[in-house]
Amino acid sequence: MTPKIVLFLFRCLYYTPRECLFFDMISETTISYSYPTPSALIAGSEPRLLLAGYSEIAKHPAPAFFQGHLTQPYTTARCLIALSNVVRASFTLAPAQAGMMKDPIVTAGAEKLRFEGFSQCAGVYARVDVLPGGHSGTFPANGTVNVDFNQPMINALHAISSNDTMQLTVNAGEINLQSQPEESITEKKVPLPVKWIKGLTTVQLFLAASERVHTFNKIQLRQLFQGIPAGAVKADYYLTVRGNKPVFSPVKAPKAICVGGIHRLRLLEPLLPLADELQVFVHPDMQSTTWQLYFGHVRFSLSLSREAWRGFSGEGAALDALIADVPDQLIDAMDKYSHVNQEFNPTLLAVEEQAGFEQIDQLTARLAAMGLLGFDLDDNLYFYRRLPFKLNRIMSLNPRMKDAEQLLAEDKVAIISRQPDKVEARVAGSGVTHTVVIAGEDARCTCTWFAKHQGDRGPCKHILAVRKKIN
Amino acid sequence: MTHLEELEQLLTTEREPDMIPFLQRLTPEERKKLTPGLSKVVTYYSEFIEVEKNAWGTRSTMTQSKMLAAAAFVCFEKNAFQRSNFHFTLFREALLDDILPWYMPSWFDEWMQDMVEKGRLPGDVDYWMMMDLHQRGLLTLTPALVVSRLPQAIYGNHRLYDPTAMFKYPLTLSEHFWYLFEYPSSINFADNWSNNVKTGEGPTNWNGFIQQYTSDGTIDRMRVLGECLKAVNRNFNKLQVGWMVDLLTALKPTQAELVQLQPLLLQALSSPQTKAVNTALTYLKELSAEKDFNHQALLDYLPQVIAADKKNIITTTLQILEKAGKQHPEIKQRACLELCGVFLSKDEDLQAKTAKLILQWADKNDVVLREQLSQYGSSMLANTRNILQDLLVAGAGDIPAVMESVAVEQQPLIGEHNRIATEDLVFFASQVFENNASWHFDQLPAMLLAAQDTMTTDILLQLEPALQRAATIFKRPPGTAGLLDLTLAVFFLNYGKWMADNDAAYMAKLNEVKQSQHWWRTRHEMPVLEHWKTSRTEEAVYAPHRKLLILALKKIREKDTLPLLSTPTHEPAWIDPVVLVQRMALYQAAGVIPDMLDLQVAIARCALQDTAAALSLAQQSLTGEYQQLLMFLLDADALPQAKTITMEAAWMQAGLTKSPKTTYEAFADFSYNRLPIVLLNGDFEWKTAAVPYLAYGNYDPEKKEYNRYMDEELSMEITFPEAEILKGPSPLLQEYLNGVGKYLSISISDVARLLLLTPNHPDVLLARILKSCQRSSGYYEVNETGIVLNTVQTLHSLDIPPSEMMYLSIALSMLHADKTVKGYAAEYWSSRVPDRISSEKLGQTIGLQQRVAWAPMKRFTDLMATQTQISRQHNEALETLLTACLSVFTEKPVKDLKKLLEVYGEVLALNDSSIRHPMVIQLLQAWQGTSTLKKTAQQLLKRAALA
Repeated sequence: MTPKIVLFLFRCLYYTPRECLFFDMISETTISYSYPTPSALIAGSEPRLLLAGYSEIAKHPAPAFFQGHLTQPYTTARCLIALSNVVRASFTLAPAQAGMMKDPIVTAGAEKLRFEGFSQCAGVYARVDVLPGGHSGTFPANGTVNVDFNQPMINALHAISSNDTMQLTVNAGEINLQSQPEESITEKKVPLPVKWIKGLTTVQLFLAASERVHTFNKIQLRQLFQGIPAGAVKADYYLTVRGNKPVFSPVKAPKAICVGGIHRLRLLEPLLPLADELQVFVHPDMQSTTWQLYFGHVRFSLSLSREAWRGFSGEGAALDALIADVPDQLIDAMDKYSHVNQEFNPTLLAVEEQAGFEQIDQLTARLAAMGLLGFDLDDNLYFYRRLPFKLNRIMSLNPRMKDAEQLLAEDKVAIISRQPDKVEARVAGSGVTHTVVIAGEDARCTCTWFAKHQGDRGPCKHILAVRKKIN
Repeated sequence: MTHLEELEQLLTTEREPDMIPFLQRLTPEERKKLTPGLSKVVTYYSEFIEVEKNAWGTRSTMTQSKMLAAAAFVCFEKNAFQRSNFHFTLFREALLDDILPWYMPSWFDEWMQDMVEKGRLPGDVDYWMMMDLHQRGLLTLTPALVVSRLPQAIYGNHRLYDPTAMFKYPLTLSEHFWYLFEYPSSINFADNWSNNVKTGEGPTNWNGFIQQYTSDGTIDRMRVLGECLKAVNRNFNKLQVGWMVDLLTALKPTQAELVQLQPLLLQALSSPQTKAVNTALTYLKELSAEKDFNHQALLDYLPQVIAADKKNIITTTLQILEKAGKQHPEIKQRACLELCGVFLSKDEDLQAKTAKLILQWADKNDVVLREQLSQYGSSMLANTRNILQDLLVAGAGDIPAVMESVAVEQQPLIGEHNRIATEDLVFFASQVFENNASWHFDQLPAMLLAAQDTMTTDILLQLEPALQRAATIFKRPPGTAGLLDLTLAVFFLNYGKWMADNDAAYMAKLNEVKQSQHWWRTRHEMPVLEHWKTSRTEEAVYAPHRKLLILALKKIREKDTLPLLSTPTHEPAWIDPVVLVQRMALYQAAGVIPDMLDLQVAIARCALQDTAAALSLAQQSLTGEYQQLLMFLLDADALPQAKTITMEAAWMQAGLTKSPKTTYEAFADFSYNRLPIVLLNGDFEWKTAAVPYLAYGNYDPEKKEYNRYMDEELSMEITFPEAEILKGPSPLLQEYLNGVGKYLSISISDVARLLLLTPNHPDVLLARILKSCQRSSGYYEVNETGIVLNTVQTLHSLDIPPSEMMYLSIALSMLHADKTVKGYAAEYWSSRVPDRISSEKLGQTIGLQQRVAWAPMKRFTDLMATQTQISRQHNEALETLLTACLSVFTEKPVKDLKKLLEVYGEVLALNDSSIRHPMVIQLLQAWQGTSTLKKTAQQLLKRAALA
C-alpha cells in the first residue's frame, strides 16, 4: 500500500470538511431512483410483497410486470434477503462508497423472475431466479427495472415464515397503498459507481465461459462450508474432493478449483440449511467461480471474481469482441424483436438477419457489453434483458477501448511486419515504445499491464489498438 | 464600498455581531451577486497554513469561521455550501437561530437528508435541534435522521441521564422511539456512555428508561417485547442485536407474555446472531411443555438452528424437543430426520446426546430415517455409530469405508513437468519485474549473457519498457517488492547503461528522450551495483544473489560468453546434472576457472536423482579435478578421489549437498573445519521449554516506573554456536546464509528465493527463520506470518526427504495461529503419506512442543479432526503421528489434553486399532488420576487392554 493511500484511509476516519470535498469528487455519477411508491410488505392473512420499480430509460411509468403468488415464499424471502446482503457488502477498502445502498434490478418475463445485483466492490455478483413453478401468476408486461430494497421491506421479509402464503407484485407503480397514504413518491439519489454497470455488462461473459465442475448434496455442501477459515482470507484456496468429501485447502492441487477471497462465500451461509443442492461452475482460466444453490423452483447464484480486490468491472473480458464493428441495424433488430428473459438464439438471428456467424459472435459480446444480455448457467444460454440505465452511461465504459482508439487517432501504432500468422508492431507509450507481437489468438506486449497479468485480465490497450488497426 | 468589500472588512476586523445584520440587509439578487466573490473568500480562509511556528491550521479564526458559515449558508446553493468548509460550524452556538427567523434556503431539508444518508451529519446537530426545526416546518424528520440522533438524546448536559426530556415532545415516544427497533442505530454504543455514577437503582440509560416506563404503562410493554424479537432479524450488527436481546432479558417476560410472543420467538430462530437464537430457545424451552406449543413451526426452523453448530444452542434444542415430544409424540419422526444434521458437528458430546434421543424416538422400521442416517455415516464419530448401531443400514454402522490410498502421481525431481522454458527476452524482461517466479531472478542475467552475440540496437530499444519499469521499481518500490527485486532492478539498469555507453546508435536514441522521469535522464542517480549500499544490502544472507549479478555484469563487460553455472533448469530451482556437466565442460574447454560462489550455488542446486546419464557424460567430457568433483557429487556412494584439491569450497559444498552429516577424511585439512559443523549442515539443537524472562508488572507512580518481576514463557529455542563466519578467502554459501543479523530482516517475497539457494538442504536458513518467526506460538504479525507461509510453501514445492529442521518447521506450522499456514503444513504431511514422510518423527516433534502446551491444544486438535478419513493409509499415518505425539508427553497433564485424547480415540476407532506403545499406556494410566481426564483415559485404556 502506498503512503498516499494509507494517508487517505487514515484521514477518512475524520470527516472534516476537507475530506468531504474529496468524497464528493470520487462519487462518479449520480442516479436518481424515483420510485412511484416505496416497496413494502403488507401484512395480513396473506402477506403482499409490493416491489416498486424504476427505470431511467422508460418514458412512461411501466405497468406491473408480475402479479401472483409465490409458491416458496419463505425460501424466496430468504434469497432476497441474501441478495440484499450482497449488494450492501464490500470486500475492498473503499470507505467512500461503503454503506451506500444500491438497489438490485429485476427482470420479469418468459415465466421467470430474475433479481440480480453486485456487491459494492463489484467483485461478487448474485442472482435470484424464480422459475416457472416457483410462482403462480401473470406477467402483464415484461421488462427490467431497479427495485427499491428499503429497510422496512427487508425487515418485513424477515418475518415471512414457511407456512405463510405470499402475493407478489413487481413494479407496484400504480398501486395505492392505503396503509401509507403520505408517502406517494420516494426519491433516492444515490451514487451509481461506473463499476457497477460495468460489472453488469461483463459478468455474463465469464458465466458463459464457465462449466459445471461439481454438484454437492445437502451434507457435502455443509461440510464444505465448515472449512472456510475465519476472517478475511488473503491467500487463494483450492476446492478439491477427497473421497466423497469436498474440502478447501490452501495448497494447489491438480484439478482443484482456485477461489480467491474465499470469505466472500460466507454470504451464502444463511441459505445453506435450506438448499437441496450446490453446483459449482468454473471459468476455464479460474478467473471466476459461480456457486449456485437450488431450492426447488428457486435458484440463488453467487459469482466471485478471481480475487477479493478485483471487480468483474475491470476484467476487460468483452474487449476483444468490441474491436470489430457490428452494424447498428443488427443491434436494432435484436433490441426490437427480443423480449425479456427470452433465450437469445444467435444462430436464428444470423439466419434471419443474413449475418455471418462470426459477426453474430461479435454481436453477442457487443450486446452483453451494452447490457442487453444476461446468462443462465443451467440452460447454458444467454437471455435478453435491457439494463434500466441510459445507454450513454453504459457505452461510456470500457476505458481501455477508448484509450486504444485514442492511440490510433494519434497515430501511435506502427506495424513493423505483417505475415499471415504473425504481426509485429510498435506502439508509442509514455516515454517508451512498446513492442506488440500478435500470433493468431496469442498476443504479447511489453507494457506493465500485460507483464503483470499475462493476458488473464483481457488485452491491454496497445494490443487492442494493434488488433483494431490490422482488423 | 461594494458588498464584497464590506464582507471582507467585516471578516478582517472580526466584527461578528455585524455579520447577521449585513446578510439580512442583502436582497436575494445581491446575495446571488455576492456568490462568486464569497467563493474566493471562502477558499482563501480555508487554506491550511502554518499559523504559528510548527502549528498548522486553517487561515480563519473561530470567529471568522462562524461568520463565513453564516454567509455561505445565506448566499450559496446546496452544492456550493456542501463544498465549502463551513457547514460544520453552522450548527455551533445556535448560529442558525439568528438566521432562521428571516431566511431559510429551499435546499436545507434535502441537504440534511443527504448528509444523514452519507453518515456525515455535523456532530453539533442533535435530536432537539432537529425536533425544533421540524416543529417550525423546516425539516422533514425521516427515520434515518431520527435514529442518527435519538440514541444520544436521553442524556442531557455532560452526558448525564435525563429521562424527562423524552416527554418534551409527544412524538418522541409515540413514534420516534419505535424507530430504534426498526432501523440500524448506535443505541448499544449510546447505552455504554452515560456519565452517571452507578447506583443500585437500575441502569441510567435507554435500557433502564425502558424498564422503568414499561413497568408503569407509559410505554407499551408488550410492543417493546415484540419489537425486540423482531429486531434480531433485521440485519442489524451483532452489537445492536445483542442490545435488543439484553433488553428483552432485562424485561423478564412472563409465561403469559411468552405464550403470546411464541410466533416471534420462533421467528427469532432464523436470526444470524447466535445470541438471539440462544435466548429465543431458552424462552421456547419454557413454553415447550405447554399444550399450545407450536412444535410444527419449531421443526421448520430446526435446519437453521442445527446449522449454527453451537454447542449450547443444540443442547437447548434437544431439551426442548425432549419436552415437546412428551406432549406431542407425533413430532418424533420428523424431528429425528432433522436432527441428523447434528452429526456434521465434530463435538463428541453433542453427537452422543443426539444419537441417544434419536435411538429413543426412532421407529426401527423407518426406512427414510435409516437412509438419512446412513448418509451422515461418514461424519459420525465412533461412539455415535455405536449408539446408533441398530438403526444404521447394515454395514453403515461399521467403520465408514474410505479409499485405500489417495492416488498421487509421483513426479521425479526434474522432468518435462517442471522444465523452465526459454522465453523471448523482450517480453520476459518486462515480466521479471511484474509477475515473477522465484527462478526469474537467475533467468534474466543468464538470458542477457546468452544474448550477447545477437544483441542489436533494435532489441535494446525494445527492452526500454523493462528498463523503465526497473527504474520505477528502484525509485518507488511497490509493497510487494523485496530487496532482491531492487537488486535485480539495479543490475538491469547497470546493464542498460553499459550497453548505451558501448552502442553509439542506442545512446543517440536515448539522448533524444525528453521525459524527465525516463531512466536514461536519471541514470546519474542510479547506483553502481558493486557499490550500492543501504542498511539492508549489508546483510550477508543477501550477498550471494548480488555477487552472482555482479559476476554476470562482469562477464558482459568482458564479453565473456561462458554461461553462469548456477542458473536453474527446472522449477523451482533445480539444475539438471547433465546440464551442469555440460556447463563445466564449457569452462574446462575455455580453460577458465569458474567463480567459486557460482559453482557452489550450482552444486547446491543440482538435482541428485537419477544421475546415471550425467555421470557417464562427466566421465566422457570432463577431466582432472572437474571430473573428480562431479563424480563425487553425482555418485551417492563415491568418496572424494582427487589427488590435489584446488577448489576447496566446491568440494566442501559437494559434500554438504550429497550427505551433509558425513565427515570426509579427504577434507580434514580444509579451513572450513574451524567452523562448527552444524553451522554448515543446519543440524542445530533445539528445545521447547519454559524459559525465565523479566516481565512487566504494575506501574509504580512513586518510582515512576513499572515493577519488574521474573516470569516464565514457553519458547522454542535453537542453539546457534558462536563462530567467525565469512572470514576465509572463499566463504561457503552456508556462511552467507547464517548471516541474517541480530533480527532477521528479510522481505516476505525474498524468502523463497533465499531458501532456494540450497534446495537440497534448506536447513541453515530455515533454522534462522524458525528462531525469528516461530520461537513462540504467539507470533502472528503480518510479516512473520508471511515469512512462515512462504517458507512452508517453498518446502512443499521441494520433493526432498524432510530433515530435522524441516520436521520442526512443519510441526510448528501445524500449531500456527494462522489457518492458512496450518492448512499448508497439514497438506505437506498428507501429500507425503505414507512413505515420503515419517509420521512418527513429525508426531514426536509436535509432542515435544505440546507436552508443555507451547501452542493452544485446540489449534492442533481442530487440524487433526480435518485430517481424518482422507484414506485408510492416512488414518493409519494419523494414528502413528498421534501415538508418537502422546508418547513424549509427561504425566503432568496439559490444558485441553482431553480433546487430544478424544481425537486419538476417534482415530483408533476408525482404524479399529489397539494401543501398543508402552509409554502411552503408562501415561494414560497416570492421567486416569485426573478428574477431567478420567473418563477419556479409561475409555482409551480399554483399547490398550485388548492388545
